[in-house]
Amino acid sequence: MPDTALSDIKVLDLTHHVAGPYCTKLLADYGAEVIKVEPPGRGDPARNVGPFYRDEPHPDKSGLFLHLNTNKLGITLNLKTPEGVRIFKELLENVDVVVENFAPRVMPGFGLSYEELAKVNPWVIMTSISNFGQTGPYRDFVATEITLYAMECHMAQTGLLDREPIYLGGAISQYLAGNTAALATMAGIMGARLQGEGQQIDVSIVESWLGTGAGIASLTKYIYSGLLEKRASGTGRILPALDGFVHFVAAGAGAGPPPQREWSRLVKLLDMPELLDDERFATFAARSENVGELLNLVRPWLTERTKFEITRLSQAERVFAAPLLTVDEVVNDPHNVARGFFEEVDHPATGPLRYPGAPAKMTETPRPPARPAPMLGQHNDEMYSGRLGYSKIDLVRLREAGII
Amino acid sequence: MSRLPLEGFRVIDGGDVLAGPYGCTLLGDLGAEVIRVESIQRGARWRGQLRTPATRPASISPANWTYPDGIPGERPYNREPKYNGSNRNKMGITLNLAHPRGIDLFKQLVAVSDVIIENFAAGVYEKLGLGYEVLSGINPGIVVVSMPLLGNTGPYRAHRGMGTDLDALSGHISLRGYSDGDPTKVQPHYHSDSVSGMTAAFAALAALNYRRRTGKGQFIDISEGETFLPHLGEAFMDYTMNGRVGRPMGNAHPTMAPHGCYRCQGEDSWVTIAVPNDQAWARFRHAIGDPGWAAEDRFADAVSRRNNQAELNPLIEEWTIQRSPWEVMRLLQAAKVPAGPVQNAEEILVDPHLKARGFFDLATHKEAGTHLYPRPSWKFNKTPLSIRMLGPVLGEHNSQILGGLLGLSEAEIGELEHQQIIGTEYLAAADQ
Repeated sequence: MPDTALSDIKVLDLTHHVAGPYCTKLLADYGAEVIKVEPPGRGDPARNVGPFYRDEPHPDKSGLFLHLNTNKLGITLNLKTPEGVRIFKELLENVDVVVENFAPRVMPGFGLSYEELAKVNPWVIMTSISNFGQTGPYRDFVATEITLYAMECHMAQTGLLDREPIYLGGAISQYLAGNTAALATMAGIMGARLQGEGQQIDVSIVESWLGTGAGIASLTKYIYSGLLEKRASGTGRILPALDGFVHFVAAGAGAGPPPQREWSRLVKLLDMPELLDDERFATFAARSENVGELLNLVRPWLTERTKFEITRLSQAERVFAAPLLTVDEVVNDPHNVARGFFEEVDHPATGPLRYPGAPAKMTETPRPPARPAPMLGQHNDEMYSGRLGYSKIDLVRLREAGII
Repeated sequence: MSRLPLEGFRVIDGGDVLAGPYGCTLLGDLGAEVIRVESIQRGARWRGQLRTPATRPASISPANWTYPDGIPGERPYNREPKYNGSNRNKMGITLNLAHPRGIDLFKQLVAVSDVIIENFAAGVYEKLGLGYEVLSGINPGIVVVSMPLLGNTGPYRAHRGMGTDLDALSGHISLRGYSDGDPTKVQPHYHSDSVSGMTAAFAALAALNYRRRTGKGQFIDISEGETFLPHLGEAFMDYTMNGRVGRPMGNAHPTMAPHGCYRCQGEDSWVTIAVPNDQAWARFRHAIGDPGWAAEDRFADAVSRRNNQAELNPLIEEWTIQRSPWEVMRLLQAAKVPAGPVQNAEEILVDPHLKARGFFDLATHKEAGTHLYPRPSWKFNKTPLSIRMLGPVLGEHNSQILGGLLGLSEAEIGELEHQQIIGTEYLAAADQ
């Protein structure tokens, strides 16, 4: 098997649900050895979160869990017991990273604060992901996805002005935190090599959002000028096509090609050369001001064509256009199929299924085919007997005592 | 510990708009030396619309000028807030890559760098004579991250677009929004750009980790359109497992109820509340004063609450509308019920938690004055990160990099300026 980018890195993964597991999934997908530690009996609570394969609730049939935990080894360990903590410290000696996303009081409550971990393994990086961070007055607040999205600055901008703001659904904030934590963790590992010692990395889900490009844009805009981004009466960028909708920017936008070039391409696409002499649309500022009238000219052109046809014709003229896709269309999209983004993973509980893959194609260190998410305690024997030298009798005793 | 984690690595920020440059900013935050390459011929998109005095009347109207106190100044492109904030911790030079001397200097930079991240359209670097074969010939250890909108391969590789196009292509718009499913009511976002940036930075570090073992650099192809797709994983799994195609649910949730956004006292004032299970429901009822309706059978368990949320939500709103969002948060958080206000930028600036966390820092920019800025968002306990410098003014570090790093003489640098291969002010061409 060809070497992978992270094959020399070992991760002890205490994470659960989404934010932590997405961080460790990225590390695992690029070849790190990730040992996922779950409480005996129930395991990671995500095992009980749908959607389930064939709508059958089962700890090995949660689509969320299966997706998030590919390429990880799975063991059980009860950190609420002194013996569990002792065994954890044994595992800790040989790893580079510990990732956890418990509420901030929990790890110190186990006797496993960063200071305690560093006593056992001075090089270890401890990545701690939480809703609001390890410090501060909201540190112990509870949150779900909608809470987190609301408290950073974007929900206030999302939706209609005269109606309630809308959240993004799913677990968007949590995945984001996992994504940024993986980057910080890699840097932490490299820093530990530089300095000869590890450290703790505190990742707050809310601050991860505020620190995105969009977060910085909203915050700095307000700080510099007092202008606040607000909800509007709708968006002029999503427009009806014959068979659905397209993303289509008629007036031009700040991040696209230079406005006049963009405008002449659009005029050519619509085959309306007379618009070039139309005062209402002569400049970017004019088009923005008269966008309603401009859209009235553009809409008929769009509603006569399908979203894929609009995209094809527009892209040929170098006009930005994209179809609004539903999830089935994304999975079956010819581009995603050609790039093999959705990959087949076989799991004993479900058989082969297509999963979202991982996003970077590395030429020297291609990702190997994904291994399925572990069943609860699947690798107990391999880790406890194989690596730590516990006998079969020991494992029976540990199981009976509820340690594993 | 005195050295930042990525100290000693040099990164070329060779991209544009947001995704690539943002990824480079993150590497700069972590201690890498980052050099952003722009040009005086072609406007950097994130520096805003106003380039030369000629463009001003024709560009965005003054009501939307985001410059300090609304004043563009002599060089508005050096006073754009989002540029200055999101290009922190990096140096900036200009090079005309349409000129052979500009290409030559770029190659000299590659020779002494570790990573390049670029997010131009597929094939642009090849056309410039900067394809991976050329760059790795100059520097076998170079890690090249190439991140066009839809990647370097595939039938749509030539497609162009922005972050909001990716929002449409990801399927996310079809999964969120008001429950009537009308996608024209919700502004598309450009979240993919930031996710792509952090993914590019992560992939670059993974490649450096491999290089440490083997000495080899590599070429990494990333499609911006793919980086966000795993963030919708469970929606895709519901399709591949069960053939189900997700739809918007407003602020409702597949299993939790109540779950939503409720009006509070004052204009455009909202709080979000989520009650994850029956135990939380009991605490919620008590926290809001045990009103009679809350004890009714039709709200007794999660399934019933979900089925009756059309009646439940207005009843809750009768309680929230009398209070501020922060008061609701305090009362419900004391009962361990997830509640949080919908906050805008103004409210975030005075958020007591973020203040205590030191999330904002005061910094002075060469041409934009002194303002608060968001700091790098991870907290490393032994090597704290900070804003070491704000986004560079155009060509700010030309002398330092071309002279100091590449060893050009003052005369040579003067000649480059004279030929407009480098510079610090946009030419009229930048408006085209």
